[in-house]
Amino acid sequence: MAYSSFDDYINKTSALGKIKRVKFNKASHPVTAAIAGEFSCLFHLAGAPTNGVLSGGTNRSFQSLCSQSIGAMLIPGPMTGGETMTALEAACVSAAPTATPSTLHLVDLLGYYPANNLTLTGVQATLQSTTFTALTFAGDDTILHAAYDIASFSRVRLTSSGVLPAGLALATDYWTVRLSATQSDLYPSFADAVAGTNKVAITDAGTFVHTITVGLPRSVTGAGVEAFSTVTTVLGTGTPTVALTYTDHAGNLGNVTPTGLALPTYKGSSAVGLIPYSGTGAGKYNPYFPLAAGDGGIRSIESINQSVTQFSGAVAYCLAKELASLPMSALGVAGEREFLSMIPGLPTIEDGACLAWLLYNGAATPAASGFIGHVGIGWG
Amino acid sequence: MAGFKNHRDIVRAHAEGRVFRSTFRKAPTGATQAQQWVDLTRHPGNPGPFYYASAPMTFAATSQSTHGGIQHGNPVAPAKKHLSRLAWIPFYNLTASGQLLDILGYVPFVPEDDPGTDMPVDFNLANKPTRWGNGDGIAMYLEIAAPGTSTAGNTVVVGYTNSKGVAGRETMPGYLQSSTTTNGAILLLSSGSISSTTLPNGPFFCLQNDDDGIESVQYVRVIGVGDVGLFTLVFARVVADFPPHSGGLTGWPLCWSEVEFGGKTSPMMPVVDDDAFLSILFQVTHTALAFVLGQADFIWSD
Repeated sequence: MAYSSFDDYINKTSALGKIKRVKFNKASHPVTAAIAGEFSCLFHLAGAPTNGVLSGGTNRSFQSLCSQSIGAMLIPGPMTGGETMTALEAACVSAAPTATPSTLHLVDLLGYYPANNLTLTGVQATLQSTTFTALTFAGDDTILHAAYDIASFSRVRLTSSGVLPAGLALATDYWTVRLSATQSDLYPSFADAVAGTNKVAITDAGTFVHTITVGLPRSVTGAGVEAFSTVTTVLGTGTPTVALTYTDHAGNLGNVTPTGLALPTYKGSSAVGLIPYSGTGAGKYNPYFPLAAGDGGIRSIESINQSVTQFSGAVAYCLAKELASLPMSALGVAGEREFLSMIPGLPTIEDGACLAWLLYNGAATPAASGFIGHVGIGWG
Repeated sequence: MAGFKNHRDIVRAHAEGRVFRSTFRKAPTGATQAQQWVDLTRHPGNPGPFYYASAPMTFAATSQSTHGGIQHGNPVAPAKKHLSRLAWIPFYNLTASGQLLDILGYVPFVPEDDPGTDMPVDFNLANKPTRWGNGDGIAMYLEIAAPGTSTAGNTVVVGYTNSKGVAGRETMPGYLQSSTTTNGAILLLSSGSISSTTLPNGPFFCLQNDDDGIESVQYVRVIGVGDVGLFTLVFARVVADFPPHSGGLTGWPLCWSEVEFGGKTSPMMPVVDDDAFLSILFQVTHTALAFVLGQADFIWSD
């Protein structure tokens, strides 16, 4: 908890100066207008912060995102003193005619699975773990993972059918720094990985086969984590339905997004940034995939089942935790939100969060509509 | 330690008179375009205008003691001063947004007549005001100093060193709207697109990748068609947003919109540095002449 009382809040924000105004200025798609009722992901669209990347890494592998990722909002941290960050307020205004009414949703983007071949149909497994070997030449202290390009600052755990390389432990979180598509260093904490300090020393190769598994970098159980997909390369004309098989927040495997409903159905020729099954009508969801009955979150996506070909294009299946929403009711009038006096109160921003915005297009948002605003963040 | 430690400190500041109320009324001298941001610094009213007039292409610092701006009282160091309240009514009842800025400096008279050339900026680091710090959070915008004929479609990039000291950085291209409008109007496109490949940036330049501020500037480059207009490159920190004003709605009362900082309406209490040059960036959904009337309250610790 960042604050124990209102006096504590005043002390930390005024006397200790533990506040930051985190600015953003993002634009909707440069060419294609959005239809009322659709959702867009602004993370990988232009502006400040710059376009994020949701297409890198091995196809359908989990790629972690964090505050250090290109496109993430420039939040404070890492919090080396164990402090907690919270959103105190947020505001945004758009000058684009008909860009309002709309609503921005602040999310912590935890990671994504790039799906770069949408002509494949049926059940396609994702990749969350792979085998690795340790490089123990003097000064290397590095692991090799040939089949999985692991993003920097991923939270990983290690297992072995024998004995792990000396210096590495079971049931322990490590944080990666990517050296190449097949090679990473390991660090004991996110802050160490960012600073490049306290790199884990690996002194032998261990025995038998070792496995590295990438987990959620934050919200690690998956509680409150939801999934959405967004277009990263303009889609072809197909209109497939999509179902996800996932591990829920309690660790139960094999949960499937509901089949009793009209499955999320992609819109053909969707533009980059669009959440292609959002909008109005059957098969449209806003913006997250529905979960199986009783589930409270997603720990990982196990497979993606696409009914028919999309012919071309690419999407990213993203895992995100929603933190707040910010309605904008009128053109040229800032939508404002303060969290200090609201129930349930201050949204916690986990250290290293990759903050980004999803946009609910309440009206037909024209191409290249600008959204300028800020999130006030405090910590303590 | 400077600053307020608890609610009692704030109440005591009021009781001991460590507060300052400032009023302002600024009126643009020309019509603004709908949705265009305007810097009211060079427009008449209270405080009086400051025209950003000094040696061309040379950085100059700004401060309350030398250049004016919205009054916020004397320096209080080693205490800390906060903005505690903002109230305004734009042009009786226009729908508008605004930001209170601390303008730290500027580069005047950037010419538009030499497209494609990196025009060097004489940026003497020693001229920066103390409150510049390492440049974290500093943004920049481009405004009209002398209207050209038509620059719509031109782009501008600025080469800079970021607040981490990394040189060789360059802004995203800022797309220009027509420069035929009022002096002080922000040139960066703030809505819509000029063509299928342009994006709105306004009012501030988008910095390169993960940059969060500016230490210094090296050059300005205009890309496109040469023109006779002159720009001013302005450096500022956003202190606070003005409260939203939804004028024009049927039955909306002709009353001021106000926000109290550090309380329910806006939890953060913005810091106002000693000698800050405070001014207003203003966006209005209107094309007519508009004035802005308001008040700002300040409070400081002991």
